[in-house]
Amino acid sequence: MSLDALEIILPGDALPQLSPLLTQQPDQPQDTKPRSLRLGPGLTLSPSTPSTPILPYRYGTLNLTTHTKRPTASILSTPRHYHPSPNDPVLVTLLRTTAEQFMVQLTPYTPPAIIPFENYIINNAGTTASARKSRPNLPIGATIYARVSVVHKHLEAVELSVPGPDYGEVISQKNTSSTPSGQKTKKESQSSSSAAAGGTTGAASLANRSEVTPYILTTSQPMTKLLLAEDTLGKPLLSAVASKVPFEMIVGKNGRVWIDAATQKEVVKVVRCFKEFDEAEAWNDDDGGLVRGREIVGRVCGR
Amino acid sequence: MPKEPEISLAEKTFVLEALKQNLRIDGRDIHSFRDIQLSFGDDYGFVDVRLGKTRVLARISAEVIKPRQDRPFEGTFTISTEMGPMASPSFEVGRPTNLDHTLSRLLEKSIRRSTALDLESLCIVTAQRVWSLRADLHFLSHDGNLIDTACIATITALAHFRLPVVTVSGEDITIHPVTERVPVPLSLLHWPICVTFSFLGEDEDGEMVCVLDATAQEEALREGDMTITVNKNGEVCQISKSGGVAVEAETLMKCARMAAEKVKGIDKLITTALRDDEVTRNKGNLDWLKEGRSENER
Repeated sequence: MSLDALEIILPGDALPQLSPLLTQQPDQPQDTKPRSLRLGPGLTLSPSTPSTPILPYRYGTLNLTTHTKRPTASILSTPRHYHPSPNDPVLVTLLRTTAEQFMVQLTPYTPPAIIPFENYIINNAGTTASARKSRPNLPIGATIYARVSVVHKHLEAVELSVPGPDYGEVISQKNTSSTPSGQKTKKESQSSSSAAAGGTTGAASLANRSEVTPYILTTSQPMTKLLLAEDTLGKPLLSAVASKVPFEMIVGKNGRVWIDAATQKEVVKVVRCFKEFDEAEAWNDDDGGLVRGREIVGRVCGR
Repeated sequence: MPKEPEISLAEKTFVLEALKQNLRIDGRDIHSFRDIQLSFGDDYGFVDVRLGKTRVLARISAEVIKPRQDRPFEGTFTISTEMGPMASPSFEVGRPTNLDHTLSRLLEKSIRRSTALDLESLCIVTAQRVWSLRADLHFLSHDGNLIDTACIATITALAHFRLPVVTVSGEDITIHPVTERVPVPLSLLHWPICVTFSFLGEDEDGEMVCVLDATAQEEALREGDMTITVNKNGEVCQISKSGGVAVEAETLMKCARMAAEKVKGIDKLITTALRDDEVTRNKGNLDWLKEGRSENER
């Protein structure tokens, strides 16, 4: 990833690039609806400075989508630590349950995040965990796949939500008959036939196994980004690993990756591939870690 | 105090189950160490030890002091260990953790009390002047097994250190700079090396799973630990087992034997590293060394 050609933006920089998007262009035909610029992560409205109404609060590069209907702007960066932003899928660890919420650990050494029971939806009918009967009885240390719902600097804790049955506790969910949706569980399969068939057959066969031996790997932010982009950035590594060992994974943006395979030995292989790739910082390579990824996979899993 | 991060149930079950099958997350055997990497600084007595992600720096310094009244023939040797938040966010400056106490106590017992360093050799003039040695340990990164790493670092640094030559004529004491006389190594009587065993449950046969060179994750999950200090001759210098799960005598004997075997390997590794350093240090630099030869004119 080379950032040479791109301009690095620092927090508080004025963003003249945004002004054409904010004002109506005279040469363009009038839109039926007033256009609004959508602000992504890293940008905030600053009413106290009218000359620069939008200010960045992170470093990175400016990402603009000059779509006529829905222009968006965000700051792209891969910081060392995870900063929660709304709608991020995350994997959290349960610390304790209180009268109204689950206290969970989003990242180590930070104040716990919360999942209020009314934000914990347990089935498709929209039943929440607010009632004592419907509340899932989760042990301390359970892993929950959730979504960041509220992040506010004046709020003490980050608020998370479990928006449906695709989310929720990850291990127990595997044994239920409802197969997790393809969006959530990324299935890589060894045989080309089942890979072509998509997640349905392969995922079901793995998900219905009685025995699960999942591991939760902690990864760096660039690595997480790579694993999340399974079809583009992560493809070289993921396909190399999947050609040796079929596995399943769930990636949380907070740098947690849930990994499962047929046996513990295979899980260890996948975990080692990812870990060594991450520790070698191969994601920083010019070829996106293609060569080094293959080399690591070859060493760990055998030729 | 910042809390240690919570380990998820999935990780816990996985690590414990896998260990029963002699499987570790990093692909190691349960009885093997991570690669020990030793590198030396420009000065004598400066060593950087890495075991995987664990990293410890050791530095030896010496000064001349007046000896204690009751021990006029002996120099002094102190080991200072201080862990800061650089190693792990759960360590705080000025608030020693349990690990801090255990570590300084163990090093004290293993290296000082086993008389690895001959303190009488540090005497310059009886009851007047002695060398005072100080080992400063800096913990740069913590991924488990700090005790063994710290011990290896201290011993290697002591073996690497050179004391300036001192000549005494009557009342006058002359400390020769290293450019004038080749400094002399310390008189180390033996190299005690700590080997820490972590106990993580029992396997199917009811035998204790004891893991060598545990990572931070394994340390957080262990039920007990035991540190055995052995030198390369197979002499046990110290065994420390404070709390935790009870260990049978048979297991203890097995551990002690394994420790002796491991120490032989580590000892060899340190010797090789020290020799390699000596060679590179003197390469192209022989004139400098010749200058310091004793037969040269002063």
